[in-house]
Amino acid sequence: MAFDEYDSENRIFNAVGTRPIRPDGMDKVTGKAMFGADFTMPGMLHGAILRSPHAHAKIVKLDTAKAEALPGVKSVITRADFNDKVSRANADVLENVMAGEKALYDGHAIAAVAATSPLAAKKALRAIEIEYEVLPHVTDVDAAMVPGAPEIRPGEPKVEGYSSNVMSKVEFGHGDLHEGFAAADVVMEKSFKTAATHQGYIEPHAAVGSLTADGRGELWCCTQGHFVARNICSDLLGIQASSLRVMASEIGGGFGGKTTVFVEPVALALSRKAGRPVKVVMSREDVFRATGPTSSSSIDVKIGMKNDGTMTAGQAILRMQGGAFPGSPVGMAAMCAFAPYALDHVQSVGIDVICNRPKQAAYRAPGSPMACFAVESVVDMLCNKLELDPVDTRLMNASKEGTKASYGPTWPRIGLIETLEAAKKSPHYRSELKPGQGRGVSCGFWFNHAGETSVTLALSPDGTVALSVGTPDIGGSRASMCLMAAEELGIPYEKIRTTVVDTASLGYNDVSHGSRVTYASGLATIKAARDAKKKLCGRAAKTWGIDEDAVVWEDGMAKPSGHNAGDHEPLSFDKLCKTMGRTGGPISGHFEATPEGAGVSFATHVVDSEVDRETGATRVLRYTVIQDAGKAIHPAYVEGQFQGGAAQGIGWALNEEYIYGEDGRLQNAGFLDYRIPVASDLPMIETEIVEVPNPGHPYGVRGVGETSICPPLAAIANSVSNAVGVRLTELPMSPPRILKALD
Amino acid sequence: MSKIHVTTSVNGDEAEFLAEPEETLLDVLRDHLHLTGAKEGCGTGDCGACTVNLDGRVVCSCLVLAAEAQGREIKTIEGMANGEKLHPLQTKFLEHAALQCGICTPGILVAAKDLLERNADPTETEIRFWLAGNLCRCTGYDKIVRAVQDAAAEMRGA
Amino acid sequence: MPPEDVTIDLYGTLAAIAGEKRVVVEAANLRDVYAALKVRFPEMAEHLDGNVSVSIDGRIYTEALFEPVSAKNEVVLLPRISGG
Repeated sequence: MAFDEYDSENRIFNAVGTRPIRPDGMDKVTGKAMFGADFTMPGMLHGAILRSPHAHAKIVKLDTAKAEALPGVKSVITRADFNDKVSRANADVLENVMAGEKALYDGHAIAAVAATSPLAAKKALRAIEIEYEVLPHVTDVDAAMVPGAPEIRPGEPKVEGYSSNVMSKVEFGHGDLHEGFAAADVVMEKSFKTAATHQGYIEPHAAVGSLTADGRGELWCCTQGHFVARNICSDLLGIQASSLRVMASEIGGGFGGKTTVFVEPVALALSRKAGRPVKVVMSREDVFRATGPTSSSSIDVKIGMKNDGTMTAGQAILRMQGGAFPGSPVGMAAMCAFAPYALDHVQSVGIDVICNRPKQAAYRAPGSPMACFAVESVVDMLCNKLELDPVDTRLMNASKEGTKASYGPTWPRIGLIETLEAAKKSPHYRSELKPGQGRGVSCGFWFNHAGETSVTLALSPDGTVALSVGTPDIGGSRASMCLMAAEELGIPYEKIRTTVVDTASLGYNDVSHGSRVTYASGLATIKAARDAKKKLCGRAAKTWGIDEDAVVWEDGMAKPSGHNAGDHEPLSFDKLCKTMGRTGGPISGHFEATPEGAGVSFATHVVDSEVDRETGATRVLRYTVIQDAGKAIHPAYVEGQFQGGAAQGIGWALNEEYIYGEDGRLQNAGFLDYRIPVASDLPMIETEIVEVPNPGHPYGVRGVGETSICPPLAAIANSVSNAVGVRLTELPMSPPRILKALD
Repeated sequence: MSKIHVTTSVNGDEAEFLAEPEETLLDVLRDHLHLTGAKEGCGTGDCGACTVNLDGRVVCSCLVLAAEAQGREIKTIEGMANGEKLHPLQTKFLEHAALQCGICTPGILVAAKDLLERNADPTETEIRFWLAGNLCRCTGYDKIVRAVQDAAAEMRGA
Repeated sequence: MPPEDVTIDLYGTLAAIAGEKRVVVEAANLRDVYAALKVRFPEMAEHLDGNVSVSIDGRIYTEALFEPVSAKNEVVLLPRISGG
């Protein structure tokens, strides 16, 4: 048989699609699971980081002598303790981890201390002598673009007509906008703003580092990618990548925010200087002030529509600030803006801006939710104006196989129409609204990612399997890996243990991001299992004295096949494992490559809400998520991704917001004032999994983690706007903003 | 050094420790007694990841000074299962996939157990308001609420 | 596979460098595409070295220098895609 056949359409699954208990579950419900801050080492010191209280300031004096002299203090570091020849690719990461000549935002790290206790380390920070020359600052994206705005990286403008804070401009589209808008019966134009929001993982960043003077080290940290953490840290410390072994702890949420490093290199630098292991744990305030929120944005959208609902043209101009460093996700936002629509005339422009805020980090489908909010709001306005059904109108214009995406390519097989049709048939969409309630609909899109992947699947003599992966498990992926290995090998789920192994135990792996884990590590697991099966068939062939080609793998057994194979009793997985030591030695299956074939994913969300006109508070009454998963490996965790993305989107739409004062300082660096949704804020979140297989995965898997956060911003804005009869164009739609709009 | 000597009971066992005056109950549980099931998500009582039971009340252990534990009874996630046998809430959280990353799970389980001891048949709204002090960023709470409902039903023998 | 004339669609930034949205290069795989573009438009080098993704017939690739391309393929260069 072919070990590499792709038949996701007609395959009948045994393990895949079931809902077994996750292998790490017992540890997580009993408090045994080891997260970032739960690890200790003998002789360990505690680190603390001094942060800038200014949004923008030149560091005039930095003297650590008094802090170093304090009892219990074992090392104090500044930028001078990091690699002065760091690669160009990581230069901004280093600048963000520890400031050089300037503090670029409120919370920017300036120096760090390691001492014998957390209290001693904190006290020592106060003994560091520092003088700042405060510089003019800017925190608003539109204000930062204007010529004459405070300059973060002074120099010549890079894009004509703007300040030097505008780093780049990117453009996508096709057709002729003029012609497209001329063909419309109605042209709707609107401007939107969204606040910066934080990923809001409940686990603050934490790391324990041990680095010796010979450049060898160990690092334990909560990260979405320990191989990437290893590469960046070794560059920042000026040591060899393979001399640093990184262990990924259990990770308490990431959502993109743990794809880079913050405290990890600091722990290592402190450790190198002190000659002892050092633990650094961020406070929640530090997490808000100094780790990646997503961008705030300012967006203009213009769409033309015929009276029957046909969209004739679309244009979006998107401006995003990415903090004090280039790299906001505005390019991806521009690509996603019109992805759900098949348009002959379309243009989207993205402008990347820097300002005095923390360096943005990826946040679940980076850029797409904001773009989606603006475009889908205008689509809703057009539907209202022309008295059209919002689902039918979207169906009429929907992207499908063969239409041209707004960012260039012709779509392969995609599942947008399937999600819209499911929305139309859903009990939710067919239900009646009560007076004062509003309904909102939105589609959303995300690319999904593949990335470099290594997996080893080792067989044990007792017929069990040790599966080693290098992608941290952020939401139950070990269960999915076990399911795919069980499916492929034809053995029970319980016989497989999946472990996220350290960087010394496996080949390179890209970060757990881009909704890639179940796709890429899953594909790698399946291929590694096929590699193992091929070897098992080889052993059976040897045992029977027949050709390898005359052996097939079926139902968890090697069987002779074809007329020359002879009549042999099938050899079970158990039996082959038991004898492998004598039939040729240990057997492991491998996969090391970059799978290319991640399938894009679309979703449609429907939401009902009502607004208290006295207080401006919004109540989400009913919420339904419909998304294309390609193939749901463990449906309960797919639903979980749908529900979690919707909840984060609800927070973004209604409450979450980075609030900066006139002084450029963050005013709400805590969960009390930065309010993420709590249990009593939300209704049950209904889900429907659509399965339009991805031809790029053996079982048809598409990534599911990110698309779910794309539609909620617009779906809720449309719902709230329809409930109150006023169009809300600025997020979050917090009670004060709603009251202002109703005024 | 001016450490405070504290004698207390943790999960039914006597525990003794020396604490700095500034140290919290959470610091002591994690750093002195090595019970790392309670997590520090915020240190300000906003997230509930450090929830423990103190003399029959759920508290954020980050808001309790270690010295305040003198002579009191503390119950943590580590004491929730009875040997090999999980509490029904723990079993139902696993069956319902009511956790993704799992960092909030210990605090939510401790809080939910206290709810079910007070109210054997809570409504969805009662569960949601009881757990409103325990933040979860992964699940959207749907499967958590369902797991609590199912555990309550099982414990009632329904 | 012998090289063929492959049509490449360029996104905004690259199109601005090339002065046109679509160019034709002789290539058998992506490495050839990048090499040909760099010879013709040296300014593109900093983008093409690790900062682009490419769509071949609607499937997006990030690291695949030896992926074959032919005159029959739709090849679209895009800014590098990453995720959360």
